[in-house]
Amino acid sequence: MNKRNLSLLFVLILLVSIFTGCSQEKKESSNAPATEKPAAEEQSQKAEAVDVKKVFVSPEWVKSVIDGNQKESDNYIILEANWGTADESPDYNTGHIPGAVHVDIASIEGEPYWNIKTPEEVEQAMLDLGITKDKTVVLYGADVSGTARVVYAYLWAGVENVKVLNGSLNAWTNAGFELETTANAATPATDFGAKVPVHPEYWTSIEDAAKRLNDDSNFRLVSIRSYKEFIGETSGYSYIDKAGEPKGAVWGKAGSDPYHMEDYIHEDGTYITMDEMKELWKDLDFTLDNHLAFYCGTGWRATIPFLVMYENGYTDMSLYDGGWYQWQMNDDLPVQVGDPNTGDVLYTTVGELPNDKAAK
Amino acid sequence: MTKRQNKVCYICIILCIVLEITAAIGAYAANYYTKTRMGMLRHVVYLNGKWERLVNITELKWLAILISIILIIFVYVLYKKQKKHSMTVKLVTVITTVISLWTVFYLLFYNTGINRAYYILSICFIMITVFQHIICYCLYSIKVKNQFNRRD
Repeated sequence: MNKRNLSLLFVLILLVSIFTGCSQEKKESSNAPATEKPAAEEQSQKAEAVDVKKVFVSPEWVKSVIDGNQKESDNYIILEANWGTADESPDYNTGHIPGAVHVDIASIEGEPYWNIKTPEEVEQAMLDLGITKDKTVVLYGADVSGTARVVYAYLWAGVENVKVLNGSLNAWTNAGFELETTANAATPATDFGAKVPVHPEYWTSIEDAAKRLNDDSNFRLVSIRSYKEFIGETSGYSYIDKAGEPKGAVWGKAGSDPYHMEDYIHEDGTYITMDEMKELWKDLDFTLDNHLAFYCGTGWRATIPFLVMYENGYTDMSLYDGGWYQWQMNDDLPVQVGDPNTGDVLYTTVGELPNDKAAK
Repeated sequence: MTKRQNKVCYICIILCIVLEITAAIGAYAANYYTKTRMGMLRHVVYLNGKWERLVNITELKWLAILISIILIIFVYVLYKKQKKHSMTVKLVTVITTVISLWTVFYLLFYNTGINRAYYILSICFIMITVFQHIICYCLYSIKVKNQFNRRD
């Protein structure tokens, strides 16, 4: 074979390699940067035990679990929740809580409506991470809504003890606890220990939401969306053309846009308490005596008030998972555009809405 | 072929290389971000649905496959018409054929189920194929002209 033919062959191989693509290798772990403060160990030992229903926990409590000072220490897993792989998660690959495993938020939700996946799929996703109903799961993540959504899904599925590290990784490092960069893999489980979902009542379907808006005077469909989304000024999303709300929905506040939750999250990234939520809701069109079905665009933000209520012992609430995304896919469903409280509101159907309200 | 026409060919080649690289970067970015960013995935899924409602995807797909195959045949005929080829012409012909075959393969064997960004990637690959063929034809034109010059 002469030089020219060899060159041609080389180019051919090179092109085939380029077009068939290549998968990314998992990053090797590097040395752990440690940020420790004096007396951090002591603080973790002092952390008090918390109730199984308690959702939002302190970094000291999480550290005490890791150190073996809590009853949960025997059977727990710490998960860093982010959409996508661990390699793409800054909160994982640049340093995570020791022993933490990455969980892809997409493992519990999917197309066509971005709703919670089927019980079988969610169960398998949990088993892959070694999660059973008796295992304590502690989650944290850069996205407060995304993290809350995974927590909600696990509670719906039947995990009895699910926690959120309140304030996420910032709270952890501010408390002086160390990080590691070694990638951890979960040990899969084979039996969840219950039929998923254990709590189907936490989930409201679009059919149920539409029916109860008409038939149930105690039912409130609570929009956890920005005011601009609530009045139909924008859909809030680049992938939703129509703006508005299901007819009869009431506003439950949220934040400045779909990606910020200022009304429910403190500046330090911690979630608001039940008392603060009551204060937030005091002039709104629903009370805690109503059945509250929270919704937002695709079911992320709405899980936050659900978890706050769950933690405080409330049971008469659920998540209308399909949110505005699924609602606006049905031309015949009734909608409202505007604020019913101001009188400046238009009642129509999805099919009559203009298609120019996607977020730019 | 005049010197001016020859110059136009070179400009065309450079322009097509730039556009081809841009399309390749676009394809890589679309593929990468669809797999790593939730917002991008959702937007791509939304676009897929929108395009499926607006145009007949199946017809367009077969039209693109047909055009790619015709382009491959053109390159083959051009190659056969000349008896002697420089290394550059051989190389570009191989690259053009491989790119065209890849586009046909991708259009035939992939779909939005395998890769959500299938439509966007298909558009990018078709663009790359067309630009590559323009480069190839320009190069053949230049060489033909040079050969005539030598004969004169």
